[in-house]
Amino acid sequence: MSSSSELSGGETTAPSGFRARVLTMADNSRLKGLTSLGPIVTLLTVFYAIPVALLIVYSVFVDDPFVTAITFEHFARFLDLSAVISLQIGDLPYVRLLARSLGIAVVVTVLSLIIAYPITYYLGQHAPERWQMLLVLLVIIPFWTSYLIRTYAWIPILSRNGFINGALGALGLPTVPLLNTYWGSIIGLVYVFVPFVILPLYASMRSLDASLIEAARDLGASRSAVFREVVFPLTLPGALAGAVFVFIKCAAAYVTPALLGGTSGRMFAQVIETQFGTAFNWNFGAALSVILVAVVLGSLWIAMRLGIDVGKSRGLGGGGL
Amino acid sequence: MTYFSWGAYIDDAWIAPFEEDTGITVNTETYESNADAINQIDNSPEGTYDVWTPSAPGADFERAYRNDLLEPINVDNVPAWDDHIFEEVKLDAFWQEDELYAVPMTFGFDGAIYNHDEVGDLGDTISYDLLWDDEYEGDLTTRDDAATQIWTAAKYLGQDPDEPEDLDAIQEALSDDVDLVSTYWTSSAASIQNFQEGEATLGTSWDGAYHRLAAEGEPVTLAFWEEGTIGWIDSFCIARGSENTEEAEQFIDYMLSEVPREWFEGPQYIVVSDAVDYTDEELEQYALEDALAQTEFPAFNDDETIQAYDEIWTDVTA
Repeated sequence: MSSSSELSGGETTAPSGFRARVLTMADNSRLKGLTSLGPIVTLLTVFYAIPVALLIVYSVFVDDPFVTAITFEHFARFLDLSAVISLQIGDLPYVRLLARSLGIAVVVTVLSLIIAYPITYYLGQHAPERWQMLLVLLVIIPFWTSYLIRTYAWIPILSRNGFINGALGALGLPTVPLLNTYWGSIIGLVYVFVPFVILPLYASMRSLDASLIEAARDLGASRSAVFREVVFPLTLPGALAGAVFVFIKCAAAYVTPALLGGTSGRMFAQVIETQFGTAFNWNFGAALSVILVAVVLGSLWIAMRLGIDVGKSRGLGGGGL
Repeated sequence: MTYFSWGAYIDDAWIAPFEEDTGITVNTETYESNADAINQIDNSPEGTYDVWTPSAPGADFERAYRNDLLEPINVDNVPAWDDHIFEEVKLDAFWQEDELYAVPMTFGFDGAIYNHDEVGDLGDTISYDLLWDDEYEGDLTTRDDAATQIWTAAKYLGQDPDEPEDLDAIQEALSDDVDLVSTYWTSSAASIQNFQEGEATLGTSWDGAYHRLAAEGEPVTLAFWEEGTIGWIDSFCIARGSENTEEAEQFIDYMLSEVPREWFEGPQYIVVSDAVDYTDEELEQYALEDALAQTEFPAFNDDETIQAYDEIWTDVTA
């Protein structure tokens, strides 16, 4: 009651009793820290730290964690040292598959950059201001549809009876195998990931001072020299941020290669899925997952060592691809 | 009670009348493969699921039984067992230590499908040799499953598919085949799509996929494999720790005695109940007796064998 009367009276006397204790607690810096950090720490712990810890735990036990013995046999199965020493790389199927996945990731990343550069250059430097938001929106629109449906949509486009081959046939040209090929995977992955390069690159392009381009042109630089000496270096952070993100997501891609890749586009994540499914070997699947995470983290580390600000690629979303 | 099954085996049109008549609420959950179901039940609290539908007999049923994921079924509470289920599919394998653990519901097989407009009339029994024939390079589709691939390659090489004696030869044969195959399929939908989109003209497929393709007017023919065809029976089982076993048995009986016709017309697999009231034309088309005679159920593979097969299959496709 005393508290309420103090409030209603609007007096400036120091608060006392329960209210005072609450105010003192609220002013406590430790509590402030806990309040602000608590939710995010909980979120990260529950959805990131615990699942990753579980993967690591499963990967180092023979079978059921803490019931069976600790072992590194699952990692040894991935990297058979005797095959490495004898340079029989062909005897390392899981390494071959990981290498293929990384190779596909590199190709998709490079192609995404090649496609994204002219688009973002126009968007950031030449598109009328009033149209820019609309054009960026066009880049984002595909995200409104399920990733799975967008990938399925490529099947009638790429198949032998599909639109592309139908058009080639109508023109009297020979058809080309696209679906269920290595390039089927590449096309699908580039389509999915190009927006993730466009968005950070567009931010770099917008902040690029147009007068620098004009100055270079005034000083006689050709268009290609302007791109090489001015545009490319100054937008590199945005491009690399997008590229790192695409590379990471692509290396672990599952749905697109499964639907579009056929026998030659098989990737590492598909084998991981098999271990957790029909092979009933969660421990080996966990070890393969840990290896993939390690490779991805290694890529990030190398990127940072090369001076790439990977932080700019954060917040792009796109999980579950 | 909770009914845990393949998406094709769940339809509100069949389940709602059961709920209205009995007052039993049926929750449904789907899975994508027998392995998914086994993993899910094995890692869920006991009693999470009541009825589920693994392939039985065969490797998955064996695994479920050995991992103690099944409850016995009181056959007295399933009158459809005596009244409706075809005698040909009442297999000894459903019984373990004098207790019934599975009630058969649908029958199918990994047959051969071919596009007769593209490859001509190959007849109704063809050899696995065709899957290794250069003539069909880039036009083949087979199942993306290590155990199935090894079983098939063993048959092709004349080995015992359940205990193959020369895995190196099998691996070599599969490596030869990978260049001939357009794509591997993992689901009935993917198998159908391969033929519809012209990605394959010949390959293995579940017979249900064939019936759906044929119903849509695709120029396809279904055949058995000369050397032996993998058969499967999906069966009703009761999941470990079920607290609603009587309701589950009531549901199983309902599915096999009250709605088989509608159910058969859905996923297009043979429902092994005479309550479907098959027409003569359907009996001829589905040829259950002939199908049962020509199919084999692959044996259970232990963990070590599964790992060996998986390694071979990864090596072949990597």
